[in-house]
Amino acid sequence: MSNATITVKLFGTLRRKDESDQTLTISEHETIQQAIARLSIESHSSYLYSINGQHVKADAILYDGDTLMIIPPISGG
Amino acid sequence: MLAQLNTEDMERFKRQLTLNGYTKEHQIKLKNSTALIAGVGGVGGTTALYLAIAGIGRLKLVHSGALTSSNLNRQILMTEDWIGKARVDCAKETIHRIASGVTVDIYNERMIAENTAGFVRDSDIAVSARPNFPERCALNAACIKHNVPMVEGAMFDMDAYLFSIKPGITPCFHCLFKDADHRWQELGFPVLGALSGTLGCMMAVEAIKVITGYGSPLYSKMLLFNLANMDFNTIAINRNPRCQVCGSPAKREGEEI
Repeated sequence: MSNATITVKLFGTLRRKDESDQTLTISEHETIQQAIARLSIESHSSYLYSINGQHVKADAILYDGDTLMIIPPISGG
Repeated sequence: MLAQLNTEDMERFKRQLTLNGYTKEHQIKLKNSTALIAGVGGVGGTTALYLAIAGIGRLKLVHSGALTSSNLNRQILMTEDWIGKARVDCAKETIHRIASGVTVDIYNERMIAENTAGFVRDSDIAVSARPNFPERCALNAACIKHNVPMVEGAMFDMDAYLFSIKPGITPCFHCLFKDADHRWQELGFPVLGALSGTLGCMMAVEAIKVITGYGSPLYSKMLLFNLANMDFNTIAINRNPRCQVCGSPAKREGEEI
């Protein structure tokens, strides 16, 4: 199976210090859930996901060149 | 019957009445509207101030607790000689010094399921800016139940997001976030006043748009930004037809993630 390269934007409490976007190499046709396992972040049922600006579910499939945003709930007011 | 603009209003607001597409009718709607501000911290306090100076008729400020020294890096409605004073009292006093014509009702309370409907019922819009998940959920549920539009905005560190909710039409808070992040610390999140103020200003703009019909609110869209990198993104967001708060009763069982 060939690889795909995606851009990952982690938001809020998931963002690591001094880090903006990151590039991630995955196997082609991986789901978001599978990609998260490569990122060393804790999975959570309440994360919001978007691929290329569209809201998707955790079982959405990623393709080469996609931009994935992972958005946890935050409550600062 | 709607209160009309008087001579003083026409002078006070003449510069915003020349905004492209913004008319006296928009300003009259603002003058005759009530905004519920849930939280007068760095975000909600800024929203309240900018709604007041824009000419909103009435503000209802809900926030429990007294001002502390550690609030002062982001509080634009409160001064250091007021430490120990109830925050809603401080906010009301400052708003009245700046915009004496605005009616300001204050409630030194937390928002819980039992009291939130009472705050929402006679409001034209709600602004969600409490620093915890349960109060945001309570406000969202009450707004959906009583058909009151809501502007949702939250921040952490140098990140923030916001979107607007038209009950029954666009995604509600629970459509997007069902559960709190268990790591969230209500009194421990990092905050720079310039960021919470930026978000508060944006939420004021959203509230003005929703109330008056001017411009295009963030309906079914979420704006996310990071001010460390000046990175701004907008994503489309979807309703959950099985949402237990805003979904149709027939579909609520077996809510999807």
